[in-house]
Amino acid sequence: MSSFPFGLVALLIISVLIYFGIAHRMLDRLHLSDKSALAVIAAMIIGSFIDIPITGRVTINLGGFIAVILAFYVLFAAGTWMERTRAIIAAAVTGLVLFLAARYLGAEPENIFIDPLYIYPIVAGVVGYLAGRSRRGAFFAAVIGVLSLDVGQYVYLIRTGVRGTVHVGGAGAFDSLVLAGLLAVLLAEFIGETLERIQGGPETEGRPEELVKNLREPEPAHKPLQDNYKEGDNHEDE
Amino acid sequence: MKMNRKAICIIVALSMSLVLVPVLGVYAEKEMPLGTYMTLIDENNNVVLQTGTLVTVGDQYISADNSRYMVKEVINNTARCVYQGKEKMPTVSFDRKKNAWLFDNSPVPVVSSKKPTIALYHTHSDESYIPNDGKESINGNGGIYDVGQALNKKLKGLGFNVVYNKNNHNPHDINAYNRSRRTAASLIKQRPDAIIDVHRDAVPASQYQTQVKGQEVTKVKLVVGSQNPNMKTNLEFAKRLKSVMDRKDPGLSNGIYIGKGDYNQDLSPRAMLIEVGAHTNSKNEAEKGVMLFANTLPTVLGVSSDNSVNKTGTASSKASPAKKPLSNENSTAGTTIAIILTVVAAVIAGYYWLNRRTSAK
Repeated sequence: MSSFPFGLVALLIISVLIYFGIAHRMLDRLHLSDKSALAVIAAMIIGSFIDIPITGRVTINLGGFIAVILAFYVLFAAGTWMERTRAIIAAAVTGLVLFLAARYLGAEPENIFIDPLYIYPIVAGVVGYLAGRSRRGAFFAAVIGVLSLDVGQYVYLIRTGVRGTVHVGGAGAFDSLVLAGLLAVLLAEFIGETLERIQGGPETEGRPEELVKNLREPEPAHKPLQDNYKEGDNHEDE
Repeated sequence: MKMNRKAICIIVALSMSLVLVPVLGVYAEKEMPLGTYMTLIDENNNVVLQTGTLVTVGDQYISADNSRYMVKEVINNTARCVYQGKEKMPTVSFDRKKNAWLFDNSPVPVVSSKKPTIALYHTHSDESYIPNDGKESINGNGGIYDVGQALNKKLKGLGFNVVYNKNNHNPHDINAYNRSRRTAASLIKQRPDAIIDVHRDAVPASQYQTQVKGQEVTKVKLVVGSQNPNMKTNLEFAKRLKSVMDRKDPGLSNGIYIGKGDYNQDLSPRAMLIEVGAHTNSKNEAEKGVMLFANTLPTVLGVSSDNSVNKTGTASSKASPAKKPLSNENSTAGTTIAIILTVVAAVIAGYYWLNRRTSAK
């Protein structure tokens, strides 16, 4: 990159900053705190430089593999057993759809309407959201669905006996595991919020008070200083 | 207004089928069997190009003579194109006084004292050449590695530091690019000045067969993915490579194809996919073709022809160092930055619109 002119260097820096900015927002939507989301991104960046050989045929890149660890973390942090079960089913369906796509589609990206890199999150985002109507479900389905492709390659290499290594999460923070997870959350967010707008806000009837409470606008962070401000606030609540 | 929940679920399910049906049904039928290829024709039914990859409406092709075509209609294996005019290509000239190559009358920025690095890999590890390898595909160890090795040797001879990754990315399916993305990303860590994915095409030999300066070689086609944020900068890089090929070895270039896909080109503004001949061509001629292609890289990336890297500012250097960066490369990078920022701003605006006061009262 020593011969890159200023424009190309600026392009690279801006692209990376935007990518990690979006990644931070998406992790935020998975109910991670700001600091934890930053820590995950930092771990992904540092982890991208660490490859761990598991067997002669399998190498794991720590940066990409953090997405898998995070997927299981959000699965166990899910609200109910039902949500977890739906997420697991969504991952299985995503894996199956991606397997069928690889089996029946042509080998070239031109053969499909969009690059395979973006097919993974579209399939996982839609299936994950449908199965669980949850961002966490979409993230889990995307990451584990893409991971199943690596399992597929491992089986293929063993079965055919040809040379080759499976590099799980090998592209680190830019791996399709990470991209699929983040874009699936973005898509679930988009579908979810659009549907909520169509139906005029989230459905609250018959829902536990604990869940409904979390849907309300957050309380002001500090006490209002003026009385008239307080009145205005009360007026809005009516 | 509140909509029935079931109705909403049905809408989402239908949207999902709209996404999945084309993926699994319609497009699956369009996979091209071996031996068939697409033919691009212009308004007068003249053949513009034959290619082994499926062509879709909106694809573009800059031919060897710099005519730009856009695909408007695809019927079976024929794609009807519309002529878009002559593409504006960078002008390449050689300044004898400065002993330096000029792009659009600006000297090529000469790299620092460090050897510039070129990264090489093959997404389709099985691609082979029937006349020499006996078949068109050899699982995990195709004849394409011999072509890659020829490019590797030639580039080293020209003064580059080359990182050549020979990973196997088979099976040869749509996930091959997912696997080679890991290879490309690991190569990017070594900060290459350019990263090249070497392929071969699948068309009749005549599409690539040519003579350059009296020797039989195969042509080289450059491929740029349009579903990639770096598309403009990658295309600028491709145009520079083609201009130098046309200047140094007329007849070597088989044009620039701009097709759907990412091809891992989002990872670098100087990522390129090259097609060196087809499965029907001689591998020896493909090796000769790719070695001629290698000759273009020192000019584009600022390496002198005396087998060593130019030393910036030294009197003994054959080529004079450039004082300013390439304006075109900067301006395409600027356009790309503007597009990315606009898209991000639109997404943020949409996000806030969706989120405004939807919370339960």
